Amino acid sequence: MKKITALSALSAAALAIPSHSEVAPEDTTLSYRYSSYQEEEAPFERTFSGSLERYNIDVHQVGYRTPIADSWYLSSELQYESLSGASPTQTYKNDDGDSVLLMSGASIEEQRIDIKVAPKKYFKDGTAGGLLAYSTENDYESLAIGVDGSLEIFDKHTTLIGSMSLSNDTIKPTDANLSSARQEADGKKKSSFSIYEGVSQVINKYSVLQVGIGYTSLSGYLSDPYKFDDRRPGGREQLTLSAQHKQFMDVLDGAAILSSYRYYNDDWGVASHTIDVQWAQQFEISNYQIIATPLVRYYTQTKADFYSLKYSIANPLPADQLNSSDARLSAYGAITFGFTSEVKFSQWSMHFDWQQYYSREDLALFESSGDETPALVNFSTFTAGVDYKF
Amino acid sequence: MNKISLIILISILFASGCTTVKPWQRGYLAKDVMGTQDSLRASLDNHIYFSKEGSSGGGQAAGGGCGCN
Amino acid sequence: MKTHLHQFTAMASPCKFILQGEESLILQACQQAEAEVVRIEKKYSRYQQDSLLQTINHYAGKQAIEIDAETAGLLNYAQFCYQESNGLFDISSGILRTAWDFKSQNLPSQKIINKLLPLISWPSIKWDKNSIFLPKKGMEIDFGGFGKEYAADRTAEICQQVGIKHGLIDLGGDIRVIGDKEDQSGWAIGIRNPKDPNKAISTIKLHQGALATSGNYERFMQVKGKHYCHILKASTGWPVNHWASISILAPQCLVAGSLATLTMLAEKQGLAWLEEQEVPFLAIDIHGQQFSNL
Repeated sequence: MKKITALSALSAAALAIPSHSEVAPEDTTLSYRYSSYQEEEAPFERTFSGSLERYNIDVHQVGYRTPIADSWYLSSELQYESLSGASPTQTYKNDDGDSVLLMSGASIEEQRIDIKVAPKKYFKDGTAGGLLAYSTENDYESLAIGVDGSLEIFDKHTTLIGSMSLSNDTIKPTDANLSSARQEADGKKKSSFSIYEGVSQVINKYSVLQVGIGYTSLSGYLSDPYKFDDRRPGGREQLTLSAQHKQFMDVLDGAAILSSYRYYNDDWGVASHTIDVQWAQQFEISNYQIIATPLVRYYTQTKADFYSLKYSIANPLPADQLNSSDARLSAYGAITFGFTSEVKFSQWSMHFDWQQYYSREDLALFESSGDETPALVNFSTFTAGVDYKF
Repeated sequence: MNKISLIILISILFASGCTTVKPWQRGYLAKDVMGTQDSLRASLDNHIYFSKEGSSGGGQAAGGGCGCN
Repeated sequence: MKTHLHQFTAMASPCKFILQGEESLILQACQQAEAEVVRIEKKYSRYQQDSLLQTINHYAGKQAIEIDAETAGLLNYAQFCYQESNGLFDISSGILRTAWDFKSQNLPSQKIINKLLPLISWPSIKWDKNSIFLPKKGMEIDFGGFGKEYAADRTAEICQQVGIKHGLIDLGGDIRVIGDKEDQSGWAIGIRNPKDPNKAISTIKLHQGALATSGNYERFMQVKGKHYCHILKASTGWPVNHWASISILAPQCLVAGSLATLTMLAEKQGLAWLEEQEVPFLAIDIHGQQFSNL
């Protein structure tokens, strides 16, 4: 029999046994992220007027998550963005069949603040939560509320997920006197109603699949007041069908393939497919846990029914006719390459993410027209962040 | 249309032959590599994609908006 | 403040929660705490074919089984018990139950015991934080030696998390205090008289921590005037026979229970060892002599 150490040895060993409870998270986490978003310059040879320099945005995000009271958890986010640069005002096809891009003049400088607060209650078999979100910027203000819930059934192999939200936005274009479109939009509102229903299913101990359906209805002023000849419908109905799959892979210290697919369709004629695949690879080096995740994303969309490059100062848009030359409503495809990474040690974790996005009319899988879309933009983002858990 | 799609989706799930996983086998599904929800990154990504592309939505209800141009 | 008693049967024992506090809080605590006892029982049961434990035992000699962090923690604890007892406490010794039938009044044949002894070998078991492999067919591990005590600790913790401040957990005699009685007078616990287990030989007032008892009267048989109890030595396959009961007070029920079992296994040397541990104890030997520092 060994001496005095038995009590202390056993006590220490007993304390080291982790418990298995599935209760609300118990940690408080404080997070900060800085992101830099940079768009590539507009193509010189296609830009007829305005600034070539597109958007550069600096984003600061602060997150605070903490347990409050009994089985309640609160998540909150504050985001501050500062934006500078110019954006397309119109694209039209000239007599030679080339697309001409008009950019806005001197670069703007704007700030935006966004706050989200989401409390959540944890029950034995599910959760119920709410969301309050508010954002404000020079020319726009938005308020949204939402509720969400989840329910575990079939011996917790299946989770039903649902959420619903409502939002109400107000538009106040800067320099309203500069155009009739801006004047018309001044003080206009936009509201939305959105629901999502999903089911998450444990397939086996290494994988889980979630599928879901979403519906959103927008109404109000949906046009872009800063663009010429941009007149969009007063409503938009959107449907999404999505699936996310996670598969654990026993590679090195652990890895996973995370993939997702979304089909989108709306009554403006835009339909899209999005697929993204990530490989998350974990490394454990002494007390550090590192997860490096390269990712690729492909996106393709069809054009809106009223998208055209027909109208310009030489050929004005008739009254009461819908139209937009916004590249975001054209048929195009986009591909993103990037990686996210996380380094965790004791209560800290550091994040470094990067992505490069290319959008081109000839990357579209469907309906590509052969028209150039010089307003399509390539951008890159870089994020650095830190989390502290206590 | 919504209800029928949901029923079809659920049926596909059960037809795929899911095995029973005991609670103590859940470890793999909860591992960090399996994607802990980094909500700040998700917020930023959604904000960028929904303002730069013609589609929005996906894994949850819409939430707030922005004057994204 | 009213005292609420919640009783049920689990782990083949009468289980009691004695709680003081607000009605709805007590209800919530009882639900979650009982669910936790049932969860641990299901996971480590030797009687349910699809429990994790039975799965590990079923694949002995065939393949390794993946385990989770909780199980790895318990195996690590079993390792410490093996070390501290110099091999007398061995969780692979459960197979001896096939030789010992305490209802039969018949002693087992030495031949059968000799066949089982090579299968009792904790050091030969390969395990790490992710998996365990029992190398020989017929080997088994059994958490019965500390399952109830572990459950008592976890259950008390859940009650504390729910917000219960006054109460105790009693799983078949393994006690863990959640918090002192509201009037701070301590919970009165009786220690069974080994010669007359329905009566208390001594009463202790417990304000915090745990009390666990190991006794030779829990399962036993008398053959030709000799007493054979259920606590079997891993090295010989035969029962210990020096102590009638050992009761230990320690902050965790798991530790209290293990120290009690280890003392029983150490037989005569147990007393000196126990005194070195500097824990409060009451030891009663088979002749009825009491040793205590309470």
